Amino acid sequence: LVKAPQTLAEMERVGTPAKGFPALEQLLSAASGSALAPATCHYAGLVAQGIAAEASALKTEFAALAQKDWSESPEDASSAFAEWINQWLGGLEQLRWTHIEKPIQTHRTTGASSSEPVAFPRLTREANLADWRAQ
Amino acid sequence: VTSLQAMARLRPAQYAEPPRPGAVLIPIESLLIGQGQLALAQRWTKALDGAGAELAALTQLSSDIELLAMAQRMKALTVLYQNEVAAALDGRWGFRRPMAIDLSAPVPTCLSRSHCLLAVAGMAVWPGAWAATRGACATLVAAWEADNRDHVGLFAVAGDTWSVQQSVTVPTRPHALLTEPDGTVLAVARRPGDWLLRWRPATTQQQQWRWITGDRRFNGHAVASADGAQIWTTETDLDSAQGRLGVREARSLEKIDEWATHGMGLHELLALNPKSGALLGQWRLGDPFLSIRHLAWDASTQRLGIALQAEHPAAEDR
Repeated sequence: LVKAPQTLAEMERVGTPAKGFPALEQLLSAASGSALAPATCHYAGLVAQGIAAEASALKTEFAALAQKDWSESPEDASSAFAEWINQWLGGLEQLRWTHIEKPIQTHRTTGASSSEPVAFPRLTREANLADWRAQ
Repeated sequence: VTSLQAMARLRPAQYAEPPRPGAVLIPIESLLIGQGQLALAQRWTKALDGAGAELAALTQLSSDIELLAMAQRMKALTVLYQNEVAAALDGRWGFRRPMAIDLSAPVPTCLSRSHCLLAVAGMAVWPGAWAATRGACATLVAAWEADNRDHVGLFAVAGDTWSVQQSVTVPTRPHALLTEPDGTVLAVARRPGDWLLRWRPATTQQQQWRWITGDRRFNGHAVASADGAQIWTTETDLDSAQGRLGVREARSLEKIDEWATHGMGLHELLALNPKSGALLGQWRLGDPFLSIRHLAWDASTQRLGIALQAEHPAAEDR
């Protein structure tokens, strides 16, 4: 936080792992019930504004897509449909393998005790943080 | 799955009044019906509904078995789309998987491109059986997909028939297979892969699994060092996208070192010092649309065979 940005525009210089909901979660949980330090509070406010700006941009772009007359541009329609298909194929496969099957298979094949819980990703704040850092 | 259901299948009212193009998104089910693929449309909706019902039944207390069943439903859905729905829609939406080998069928006289790809990517001669059956029949090691699952196994080829001898289910699609002198088989997940399996088909010993974690992923190949003491695995550093060669102790498959491979998207065609990993030679193709896939070395003729994949944008250039 020493070189923390002071404005939302300066947040552009900040990498993804230090922004968004996971960053906000970490800042708030680090306070463990007590008030945030002023610098932390300011940064958390910028992170929250960044989330709001991102959500707003998504809403605007989705609204534009919803209003578009796709029948006038078959090429655009085809490209958008292809992207949508690939997104759901990739997302479904990511959910299936990375988040469900891989943790169970790893648990079963690495000699873990049956009493030891399966390490599903993002169950804890620490796991969430590690996951973000690995991206 | 829930959002997919909303966008990929017709709502009940739409069976009476079909969606109008230009007014609403036309669901995949409707596109299939429009193509006359009524049976496939029914299977598509059944797969979607099955996955949706399985998902709705899950709770925080669901067992691993129930979660794995859910995962299988999800995989069945993506495989159905990739293998059949995409082809039926005749569009460039979603990548298609190579066809699964039908192991009950006779060996085709002329292999299709898909079969050839599979054969190149995941087939090897099993050394013990090959020596015993050279000639009229042979035992091959292969990877294939059946019943929405990926498998590695041995199958015997005799004349124009083939049959599975033994097989093991693997979590995701494998790429290259390495047969070891003692008859064990090393299978590596296709890139970006996260598992390495040593399968012992001839014994009752347990399979040996290695999972790659952190910022490394397997790139699909494993090679044994000349003295057999090490296994080298092609890997990718996710942070930098640079290729790496994982140096692993052959018996345990534990990683003991790592060498740079001096480029992105490592596949093959690189010479490294087998002791230090120092770069000895590196060969690049003049045509950037040709992608190196596999190598085969024939010691008797001192010739190197290189399998290439042409990825030119225009089909006529391939």
